[in-house]
Amino acid sequence: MINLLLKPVSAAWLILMLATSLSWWLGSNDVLSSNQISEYRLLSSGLIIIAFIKVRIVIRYFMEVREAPMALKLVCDAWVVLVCGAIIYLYWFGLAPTVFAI
Amino acid sequence: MNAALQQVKKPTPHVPGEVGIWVFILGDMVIFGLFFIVFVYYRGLNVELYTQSQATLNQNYGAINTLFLLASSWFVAMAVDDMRNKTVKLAPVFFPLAMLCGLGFGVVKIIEYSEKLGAGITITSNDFYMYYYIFTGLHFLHVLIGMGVLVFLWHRARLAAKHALTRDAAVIDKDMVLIESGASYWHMVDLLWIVLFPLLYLMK
Repeated sequence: MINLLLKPVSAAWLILMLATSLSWWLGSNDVLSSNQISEYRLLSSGLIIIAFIKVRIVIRYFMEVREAPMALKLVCDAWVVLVCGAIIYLYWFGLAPTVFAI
Repeated sequence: MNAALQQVKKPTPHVPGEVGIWVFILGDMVIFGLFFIVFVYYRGLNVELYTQSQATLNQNYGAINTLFLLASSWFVAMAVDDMRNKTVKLAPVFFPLAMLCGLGFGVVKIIEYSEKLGAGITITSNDFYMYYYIFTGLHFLHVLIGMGVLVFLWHRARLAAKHALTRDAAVIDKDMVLIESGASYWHMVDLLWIVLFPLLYLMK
């Protein structure tokens, strides 16, 4: 059993569990409601970025893409960067004009 | 150390499972990627409605389900590793444990849906709930298919444990293509939920 926990996949899993707990706490209403708009927008962006870091860990370690040919690695990384980038961009700049004026 | 030995030591790049399953996985990821982008775009047009509706969701359900799928993925990853050995010991136990975590996800999801429906919140309530039901519903469909895949992997693991004596490198290689394909699909189900969780439950 100890051998299992010493594998890189288990370290990856531990990081994923901790990151999820951190997001859970950061995203809870008590933490968010006490902040100004600009602060919780940064916080929300942070939560999205944490999620995509987690996604990359899942792809690399659980799906074993770290041992895959370069082409597959690049396609997976492209997905992570493009989808995460589009979400963050739309979150900050995709607002309706009335909302943006505030 | 000569060059030939060095080459043996360095693992050659290898696509986990069938190439075909990766076409499917990447296709699915592109579709969900578009879902995420569409959601954030429409959210930007009516932030107030989305934030108010989101406040009625129970973040604990979303978080617990993330932990369930992560634990499930770990069991599957460990089982896959075990299947590479001649003598398979852990996989016949770890695949059912992974399914148990998947079942936990399903139970939480059903409790969550029934709470929402009981409060009169349906797919037609507003745009936020429409996306909520469609995205989580399609994801849940993936979980159900994944559970079927895990049953199949469990069956292969039990066969492998039974036939340890006749399990040579060729048999293991053939087995691993199936096992890695199924496992990769299950990890993708986990991966999609990792994004859905902050997108639907947390982002303010």
